[in-house]
Amino acid sequence: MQGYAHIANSPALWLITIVAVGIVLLQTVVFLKKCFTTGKKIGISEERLKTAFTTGAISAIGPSVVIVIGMVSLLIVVGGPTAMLRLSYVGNVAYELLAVEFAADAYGVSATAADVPAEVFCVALWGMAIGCVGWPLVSGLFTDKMDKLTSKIAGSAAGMVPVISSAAMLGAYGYLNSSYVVSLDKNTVALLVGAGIMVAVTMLYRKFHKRWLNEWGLTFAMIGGVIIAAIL
Amino acid sequence: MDTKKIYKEEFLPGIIKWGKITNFLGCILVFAPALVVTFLYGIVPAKGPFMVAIVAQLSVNAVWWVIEPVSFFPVLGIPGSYMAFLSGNNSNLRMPCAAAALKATDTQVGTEEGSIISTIGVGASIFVNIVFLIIGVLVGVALINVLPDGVKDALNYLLPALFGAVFAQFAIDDWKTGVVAMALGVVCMVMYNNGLFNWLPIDPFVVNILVPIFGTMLYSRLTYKPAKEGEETK
Repeated sequence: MQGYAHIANSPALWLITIVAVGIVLLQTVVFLKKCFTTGKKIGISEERLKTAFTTGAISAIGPSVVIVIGMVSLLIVVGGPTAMLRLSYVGNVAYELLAVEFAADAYGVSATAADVPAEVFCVALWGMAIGCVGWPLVSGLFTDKMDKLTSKIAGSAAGMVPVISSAAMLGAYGYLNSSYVVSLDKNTVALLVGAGIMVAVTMLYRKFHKRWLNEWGLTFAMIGGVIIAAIL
Repeated sequence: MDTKKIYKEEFLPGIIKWGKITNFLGCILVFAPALVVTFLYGIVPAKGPFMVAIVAQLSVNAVWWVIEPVSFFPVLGIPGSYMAFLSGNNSNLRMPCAAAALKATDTQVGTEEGSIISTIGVGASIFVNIVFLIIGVLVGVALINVLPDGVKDALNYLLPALFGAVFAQFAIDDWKTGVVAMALGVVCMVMYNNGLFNWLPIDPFVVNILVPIFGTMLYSRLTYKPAKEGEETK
């Protein structure tokens, strides 16, 4: 990216990244404060609130490593500020590198070539922006109305909402898992081992009630899946 | 019990106001880098390649704009949804963290408590993720060079292991629904790979996503039996 490196790493882009990350952090702090106060008010114990936080934080480590690796490969072609922005703000590690590839393809060049024209960088930025604007837009517009949708699908029975909720979740991951299942390769192994370890950890927790088992369960499953898939 | 009242009347209005402001601001700010490079630095791309790249991008992303907010909403709840869709990386980071927080605290999905617990899980993941990214951007390329190739290759298996684990967390309490979800996912994927959906007027890949999600919801609705007295509230 020699030709446009000074633009890709310019103070203007860094400033945008800092503001964007600032907005995400501001929202997070405001929401967490509200959640903790309201949580206590409706009778969730301090301990459970803290467990939720630690579990979320621990479970984020593994996926974050993958995201950081993705960011570094992105950084090489689009510079630091854009790479950081895309992975802390609306983006998804799976789509951002694609945006660069689509832009490079459209110009008939290779994304990692040394003499990529600056236009490719610019088109990638537009692709990333247009590609992801739908998420905050749809959630901004409809999140507060989504309750009605859930209760409509759930119908009148009171206990139905949680049941339908976990069914939606299972369905979504049923889809996400399916490509790894039909590939019948090491990905399938990783998937099965991850699932197996999770079941084992949950069983152990139910027997011994050790909190750390729950907090670290997802991380154990990820590490186990990765190691076994890699050595097989 | 006025849990519902506190949640609906004291908690939600503020969340919705803040959520809308921050997410709409997010929609505008997302374009800032592209605008700066195009107009401040004067790099104006030709229309042809621009359209080609944008259409390609939209064809992979746009379906998810609607599907993720709808299918993840029950787990994330209102505050969690605003946060997850502003910070991104949903299926691979926010959802697993929300799910793990729910399971670790024995909280039921889709309830008021559940929405608060999963939001806390998402919030914690945002802090961790940003810290990692800051380290990554500072250390940068050196980080990749330090890692042996074997480790880099092995990390490709992290996502399937994570997805399998998240799935198992939920399937363990309702394995029949889990089997249905997995079966629908796999059958659709195999049919898609063999071109059996090509007759559809829409992008056939959408079927792979919609059928497992809504099929599983339908299955659980049809087979739902109200819990016996006292069993539901624990």
